[in-house]
Amino acid sequence: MEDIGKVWYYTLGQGRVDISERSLWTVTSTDISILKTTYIVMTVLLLIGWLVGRNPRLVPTYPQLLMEWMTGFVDYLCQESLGKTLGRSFTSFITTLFLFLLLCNYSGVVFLEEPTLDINTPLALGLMGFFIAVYQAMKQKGFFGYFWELFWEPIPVIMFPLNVIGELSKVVSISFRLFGNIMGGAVIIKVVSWLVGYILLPVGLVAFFGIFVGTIQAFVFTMLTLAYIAQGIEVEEEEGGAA
Amino acid sequence: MYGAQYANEIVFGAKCLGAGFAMGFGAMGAGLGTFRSATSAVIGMARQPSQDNLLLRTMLITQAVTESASIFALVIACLLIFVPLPPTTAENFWYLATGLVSAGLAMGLGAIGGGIGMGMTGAQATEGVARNPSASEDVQFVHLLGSAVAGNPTVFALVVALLIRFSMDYSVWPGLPKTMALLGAGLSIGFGVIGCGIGCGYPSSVSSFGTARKPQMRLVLVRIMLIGQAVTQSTSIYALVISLLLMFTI
Repeated sequence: MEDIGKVWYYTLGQGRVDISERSLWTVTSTDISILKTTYIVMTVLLLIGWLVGRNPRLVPTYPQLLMEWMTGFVDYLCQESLGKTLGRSFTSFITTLFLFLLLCNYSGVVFLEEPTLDINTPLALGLMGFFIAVYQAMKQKGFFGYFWELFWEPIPVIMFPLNVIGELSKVVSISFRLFGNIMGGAVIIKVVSWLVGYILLPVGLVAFFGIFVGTIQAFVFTMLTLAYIAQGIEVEEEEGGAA
Repeated sequence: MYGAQYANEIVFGAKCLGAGFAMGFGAMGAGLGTFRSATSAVIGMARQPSQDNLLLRTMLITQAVTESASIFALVIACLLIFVPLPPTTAENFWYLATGLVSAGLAMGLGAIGGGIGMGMTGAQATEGVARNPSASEDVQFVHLLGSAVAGNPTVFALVVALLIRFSMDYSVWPGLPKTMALLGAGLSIGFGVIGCGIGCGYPSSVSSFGTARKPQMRLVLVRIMLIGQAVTQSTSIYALVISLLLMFTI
């Protein structure tokens, strides 16, 4: 039953190296397998984009229809929460984030290591979203305006450290939610495989955790990133909205 | 050290006790949460039999989201049972045993509130979809955002449990105060997030239902909901801060 232990060693990217011997530049076998899946996912995404986008038709083909529907849905959500012009400029980023996470979570179904099983991937994406949100807020309110709001908002001065911790806890919660869900799926699949003696592949569990939970968590991650960006700025109310 | 001849047994027992706490308490919240969306879906199907597919789908999505609280608890329980422990010596075993129990308590108690809160959100979202099936996409959007925020306290508990289990230095005996501080860290985050998880469930549940009533108001609802939940959540952030202080600075 060392497999569960192995899941843990995979998840923090420790690989087969003991954490006390691990320096910043140690590259373990786990890092390599995670990186391999990440590059496979990126290649697949680029291929899909190239194949679908190279020859757009007025009467769409099925792949084009699927991608247009997905992009249109994300575009609608972005414009709705960020306003018309800013929302349109964020559509490509949010769509890419969603598709990347979706393919990362699905990659467990075809027996690759999910990159989201490693805390580094969600944490990096969460930090990216956080810095984009801070940048947008600073762009609108000014550098000092942003800090003034942290410093002065609910109760002056006293709340400042807690406000800062509250902002930072967004990164922790968004990334550990994705990590915990995907890792929970991996652990449950390992335990059930062990209980049935590795004879039977738990297909239903793989479908549930790989596809169902994977889709929901990818969507939640993307929408929370969008909500954090929208929370920092004030959207101008436009006539009729984007809907 | 008292009881040194039983060191291995004590650490093994603490491991099992921690896993039992984690899964036993952790299943409570999700259990109390998931049945609500099922109830709403059944009542909604009785009222609108033509929408049974939509209601079934909504119920399954809301229940899958609610289950994530107990999935976190299961992760911690499995990690406590199966991951190899740091070496047990005659000096450190009480500290190690306390850490294992504390990690289990943190995750188990922490999963109660989030499960109930996310379950309330799912129930109101399902009921909203039953009343206004044409707004199901908007309700789903608000529900996913709201229950994600209502589940944040549980994520904090998961983080603290992982930190207690894997980032503390168990190789030396640091004295009784640090040992008790480690137990206090687990209890702080565990009890601290119960009320917050339930409390964060209320705004998201009423905004999910409100979205079904007035879909064009959903942006205002989401904005007010997120601001209110952020203030509600500050109590769990206090608990997180105290836990980290107890673990790393005492």
